[in-house]
Amino acid sequence: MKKLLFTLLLSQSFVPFADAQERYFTREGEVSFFSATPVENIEADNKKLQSVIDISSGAFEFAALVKSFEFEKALMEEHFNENYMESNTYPKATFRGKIQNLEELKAKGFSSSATAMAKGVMTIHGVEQEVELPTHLVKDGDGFKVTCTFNVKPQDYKIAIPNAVQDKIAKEIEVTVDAALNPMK
Amino acid sequence: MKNILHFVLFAVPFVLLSCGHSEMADEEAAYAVSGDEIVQAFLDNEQESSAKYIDQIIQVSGPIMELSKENGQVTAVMISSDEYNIVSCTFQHPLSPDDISGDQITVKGVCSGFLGDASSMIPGGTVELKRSSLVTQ
Repeated sequence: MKKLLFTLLLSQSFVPFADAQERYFTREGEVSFFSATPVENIEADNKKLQSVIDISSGAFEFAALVKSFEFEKALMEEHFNENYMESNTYPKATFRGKIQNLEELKAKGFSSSATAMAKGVMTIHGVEQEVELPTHLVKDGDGFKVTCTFNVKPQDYKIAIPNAVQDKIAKEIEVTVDAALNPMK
Repeated sequence: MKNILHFVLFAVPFVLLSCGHSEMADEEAAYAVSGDEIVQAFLDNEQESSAKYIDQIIQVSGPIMELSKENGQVTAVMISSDEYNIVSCTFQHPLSPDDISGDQITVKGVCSGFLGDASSMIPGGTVELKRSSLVTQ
């Protein structure tokens, strides 16, 4: 009986991310983007990204309000919302997907040596695109640190860039997500 | 004449594009509501509340749920009396923790919308205010 109990306890200690549904969440992640051209660099950030991950299933989401991106220059922010993102019509940008290699990450203890492959649907400007996001998903205290950087092509999301400003906006815009997810109560 | 035209074509757009944001502390709020009230309004009718509140300066009062700090300065506050329905505000300028006393707060800021979707794993609903300033009564 003692041996059985010992074996059970030992086996539990090696499977800290076992079957129970474990969700981790934040309302204060950061998403920023950077458009670099020889004419002008444009950057903005939003510190209200919401993200949740279910470690038992690998389901992973993040969402942000487009109007919560803050620019240094007021007019640039206005143009971004009114002319390009049409954020009154399409107020949110979201990703919903699943970590494809969850077992590998669990085996490596969610260390920084493994890259999570998040596959799912990105919705920007009302357009849905299947994407794969290489993501760092690292155990951090009681929670997880999530970081990923990916490129967005405005044309893939039907974001029209007028000819007059085409040389000021990059063909591919670098987006960075950085969030510390805590256990959901 | 040519010089004036050049000025209009180049200098005016440059000045406009270089302008920062107005100081929220100097602005007047279009609406004053409690945190619970504005979240409930979005939960009840997101379309109607979006039309009413988004891009407007809203003054919101309620219990402090959480303060966010960077380098010892307060950069954001969450206002809520429950855990999942929240008004989340970023400050235009970081505040000293000494500026905030008690467990209630009033801020004003630009409403950027509502995040909440029953089909999502993300729980509850959040009304977001950006470039907020503390309102001292």
